[in-house]
Amino acid sequence: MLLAEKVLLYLTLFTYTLAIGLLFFAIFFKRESLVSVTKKVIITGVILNTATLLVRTVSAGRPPVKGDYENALTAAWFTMVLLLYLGRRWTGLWKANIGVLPVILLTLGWAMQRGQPDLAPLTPAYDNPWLYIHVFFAWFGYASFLVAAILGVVILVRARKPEALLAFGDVRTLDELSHRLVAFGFAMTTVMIASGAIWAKDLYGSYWSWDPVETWSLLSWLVYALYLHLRTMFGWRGAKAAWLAVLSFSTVLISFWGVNFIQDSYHIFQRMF
Amino acid sequence: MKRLFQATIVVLVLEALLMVCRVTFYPQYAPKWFWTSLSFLLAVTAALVFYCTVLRFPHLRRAQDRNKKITLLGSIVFHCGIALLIFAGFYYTLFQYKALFFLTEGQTLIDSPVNHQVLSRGPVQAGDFEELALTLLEVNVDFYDPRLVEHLAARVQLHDLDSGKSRVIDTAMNRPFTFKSRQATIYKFGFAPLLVLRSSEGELLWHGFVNLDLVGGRPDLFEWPLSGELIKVEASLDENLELTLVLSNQTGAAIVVTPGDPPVEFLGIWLEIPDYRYWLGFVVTSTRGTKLVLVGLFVLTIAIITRYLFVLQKDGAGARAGNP
Repeated sequence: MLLAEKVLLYLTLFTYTLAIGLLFFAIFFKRESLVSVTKKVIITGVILNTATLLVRTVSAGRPPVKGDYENALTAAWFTMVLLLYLGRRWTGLWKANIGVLPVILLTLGWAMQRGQPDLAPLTPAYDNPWLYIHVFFAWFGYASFLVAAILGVVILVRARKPEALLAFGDVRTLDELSHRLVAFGFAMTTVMIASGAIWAKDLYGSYWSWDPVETWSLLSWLVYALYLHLRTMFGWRGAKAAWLAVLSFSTVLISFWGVNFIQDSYHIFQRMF
Repeated sequence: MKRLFQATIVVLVLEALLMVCRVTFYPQYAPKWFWTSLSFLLAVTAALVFYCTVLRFPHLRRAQDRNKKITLLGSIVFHCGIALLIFAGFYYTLFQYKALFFLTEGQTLIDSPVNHQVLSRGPVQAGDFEELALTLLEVNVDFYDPRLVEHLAARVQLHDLDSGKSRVIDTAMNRPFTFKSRQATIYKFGFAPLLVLRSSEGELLWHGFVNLDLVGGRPDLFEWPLSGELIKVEASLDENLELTLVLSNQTGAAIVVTPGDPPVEFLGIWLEIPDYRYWLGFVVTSTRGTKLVLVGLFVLTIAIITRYLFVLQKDGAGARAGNP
């Protein structure tokens, strides 16, 4: 890892941590004046995160899609960019960062502890344009599901204590937003699975191998399909839908982290010699 | 209608439970009852999804609002895509031919199940295996460092024994090539040292290439050509990418050989490795049903653009408009 990347990475982590602290005071001590400062801190964090990714991309000569560290860094960027975009329209979403940022920091910390991969090129197994489509849609899908789950937690807290977390806005808006995020994430995940299947045909000779990671991805797709159908066909709203959004996210976590605990998976692209 | 959705949800939940079963208890292998149940549930899902889709057509005709019409149309196409994809999956699996095929540089083999390590074979394979010979002309491997391969490509010659016509194909990992009704993709490579065994009097006892699978720096075993005894081989590349092999047997006798070195004594025989080549492992699959799968995936993508992205971006009404 280059020194410039290291400095930028630690600055990103510091900025995100600072944003959590500021949001904590803004939400729990009702210091609304801190919200605008927090927005600036978060935007700075995203800029630093982007710079870290750019330095990594330039120094490695390839997009950062290899190993836990690069995946965590890219996942953090996608999630924050999505939240920044949504935060422009639904101002209450800025506060969802209080739930999203700790998850991002934990993911980054865990990935850094597992060691940063060297700046080696991608192995021949990765040499396929479908990889980028697969990864791009995966991050957008997973980022949407994460934000939807955080909103689900807020809805559940509000269902128990209506006076709590008022800063996030009214429950109906949060509920609708959570639904839209799941719908968007579902579309992204569909493309992710489809592009992964096409890539797998080039790499392993078959579209689908019932590999554990594939199966978990399909499982999370099914669970979110269930969410959408229960909502549109059976009118699930509020706490019921929120529970489902939160529980469904556990399948995403297994798809993302579970691969590290599975020894025999096509998704472990070992070094070839 | 609601009953139908309830049935679909029950089937989906059962499918999800079976999948959890798969990843938890049968990561490598699953019993026949598992595949039968899963296939049955998938078939029921396809039928239910298709039926639910058909039931939506009257809503599409009745819909007045343009956005609602687009959303409903997207939803119908999406569900048709899923039903088509499940059907395509069954068709593909039913006629699937999957095998492993190994070729050493310079080697020619007739493409036939006899030379394949067949993994799965569908019931109908008529006319699949006409006389065709494959020659691995050369393998190009670029190492980034001794433990990391940066580029793997190969040149293969296909020779049609019926017509006598030949063609040369450049292929690589992730760049499969097709011939007849099959597709071949490189999935593995390894070193194939040329072993020359001589008696102490200098008489040639055996010579030939031995394909070693040393992926991830793990050792491999091969049968000693003269006695059938299992020999363990460990390989390493030094900084100059020079190959060194360590051969050992179960009694602990071991030697270190570098290709090009003078003969060394091992198990009472003089062993020499004058050179080494590469070997490639190909996955050979049938291309039957692949177009159908691709059409299914294409339909899904079009539906997503219509159902979710277009309408959700336009006015945000899509989330509710899809509800008939």
